[in-house]
Amino acid sequence: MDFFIHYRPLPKAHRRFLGWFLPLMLGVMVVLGLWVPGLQNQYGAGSRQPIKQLSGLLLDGPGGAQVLVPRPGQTPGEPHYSRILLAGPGKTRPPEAVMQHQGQWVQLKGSLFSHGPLSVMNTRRAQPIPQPADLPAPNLKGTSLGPFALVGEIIDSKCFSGVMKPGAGKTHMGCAIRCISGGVPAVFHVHNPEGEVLDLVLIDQEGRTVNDRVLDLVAQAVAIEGEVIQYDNLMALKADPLTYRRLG
Amino acid sequence: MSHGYVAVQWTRRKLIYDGVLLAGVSAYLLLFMGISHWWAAAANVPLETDGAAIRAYGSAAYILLHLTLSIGPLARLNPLFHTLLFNRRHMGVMVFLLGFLHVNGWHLPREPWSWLGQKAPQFPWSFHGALNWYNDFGNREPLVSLFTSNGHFNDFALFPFELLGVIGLAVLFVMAATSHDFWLTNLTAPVWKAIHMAVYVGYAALVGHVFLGALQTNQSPWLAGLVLAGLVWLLAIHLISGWREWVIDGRPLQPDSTGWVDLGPIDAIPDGRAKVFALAGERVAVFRQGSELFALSNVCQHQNGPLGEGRVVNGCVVCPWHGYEYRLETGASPPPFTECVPTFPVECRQGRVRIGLPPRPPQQA
Ligand code: HEM
Ligand code: FES
Repeated sequence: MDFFIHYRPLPKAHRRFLGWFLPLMLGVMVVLGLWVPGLQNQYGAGSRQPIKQLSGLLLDGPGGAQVLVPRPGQTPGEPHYSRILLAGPGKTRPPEAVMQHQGQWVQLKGSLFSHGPLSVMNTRRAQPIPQPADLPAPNLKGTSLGPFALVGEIIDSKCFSGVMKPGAGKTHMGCAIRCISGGVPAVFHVHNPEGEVLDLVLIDQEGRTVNDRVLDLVAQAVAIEGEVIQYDNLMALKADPLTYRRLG
Repeated sequence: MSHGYVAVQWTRRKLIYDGVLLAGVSAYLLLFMGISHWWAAAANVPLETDGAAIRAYGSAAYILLHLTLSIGPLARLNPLFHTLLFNRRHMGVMVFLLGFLHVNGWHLPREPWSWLGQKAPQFPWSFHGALNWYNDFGNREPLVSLFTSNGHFNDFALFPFELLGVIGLAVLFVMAATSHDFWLTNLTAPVWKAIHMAVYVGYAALVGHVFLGALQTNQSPWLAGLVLAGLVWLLAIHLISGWREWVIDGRPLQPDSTGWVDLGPIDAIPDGRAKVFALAGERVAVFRQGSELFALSNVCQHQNGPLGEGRVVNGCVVCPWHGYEYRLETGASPPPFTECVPTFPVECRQGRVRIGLPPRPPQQA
């Protein structure tokens, strides 16, 4: 009889059916297992460097915690310092043990993540050091580059710089909101049709961070009109967060 | 409780079934994560292993859910699929487990490695799940963060897709938790069946989870095409198999003034098998054994399987779904089982089959 009863011997027709159907299903799983990862946006730039030490001037702003690191053999015309954004362990700004040394020269230790022009260090402790002699004066005021209208996405600098892939977009929205509300510097990620990217920290009219005021606009297309100010290698976009516009 | 339940019987065939299932799922997970690593190495960028694992487990659950939901209608259309149906509940439980790991992640326990002064090996699939990876390590409890981060409830494209995943996981949990026959017996088949229809609510929520999540971030037409193909496939086979039943139910037969219903010529019923007739409000399976006729309710007491698609073995109708048996004359399961289905008086007059209403109540042997 060609009727299947699971506790009786398998009829011939059913044996033949399973003989091709099970390999077919396994084959489908194999094909999908090989194919679906390639359809994911998970191979972006952004990498983690081994634990590093950095020495520089610890600052709280513009746009969040950062350290101003003298560039060793700078070329003429280039900024004399690099600014590296700072985050604490997890989705936080650096802990009090670090931030209490704000305005001082410190040595920091942590992992450094970088994605294009954006660099973020994860750090939990700062060691004060004497100010090195013979350094050019840092440009703490910044240089205005004028007004700009930009379209981009508000991201958290830490995940986007390489902790997560892609670290942007809808699936990352919840995490980015956690990071930005926790004090990780909020960055406006802009790219033009030529594929050039620009990452600007966000500050309000008074130069303060905007983190708690932009949570509703994270991880979506946003237009911002404001003044772009260059602080060494770091760009800041100065605008009232109430004027940010969601697109679409 | 109407009767004692018998513990799940592990047969060799169920073990083979589970083995093949596990092999297919493992192959998918290992290939997904392996290829992700390989691809990242080729592009010379480090892979975010937790994210890759979250995607591997989520997509494995989603794919397997499609297979699980396909078996019912496919078995309606072709009895060969009964070979996959009899143990479908293990497939459903596997879908839940994969979904749970997608959300929760997993790590090997510290022990016994710590007793030996060693760290637990970091297999490539030891990872944080979607809940912790995207919500922990911040200024809120992960679960609070999950429900409060994204507040765009009024915006379709920005809607918190994670919450649709929560609905999907909750439904899969209820299915998995009540999948044992213990619950079937205690909840009664109609209630149990109703609960299990909720799987379609869960499926709809998960389609939304993927459309408003993965497909927004990964704007690959192929990925969208695959998700859409899965949806269209399930709709199509459900509509086709549903339409067949609707055609049968659509023209219920009415009794004449004496309470008998004419069912047509006896030759229309194949020997040793049944034909299903729709009477007002009820499906009846009429079995023919040579010149003898037997009429039983078409609805199996286990999970409402179609008895009319069953066969007669040793004087009992065997349900095609999981093999429950009912005596042809009485509708009662042979002892020690106590299920029974209603039967109907049936006769053959001048080559035409007639069935009497109302049915005889179910009678235990
Ligand atoms: C509490 C419940 C859930 C939460 C919080 C959740 C969260 C997430 C998140 C954050 C992602 C995006 C991952 C990324 O690409 O970075 C995702 C993707 C996904 N989830 Fe869920 N999920 C849940 C339940 C489920 C369940 C039950 C299933 C399936 C049965 C599922 C299937 C998927 C699929 C297929 C993807 C897309 C994977 C890919 O990109 O290929 N999720 N989920
Ligand atoms: S429905 Fe399970 S045996 Fe009939």
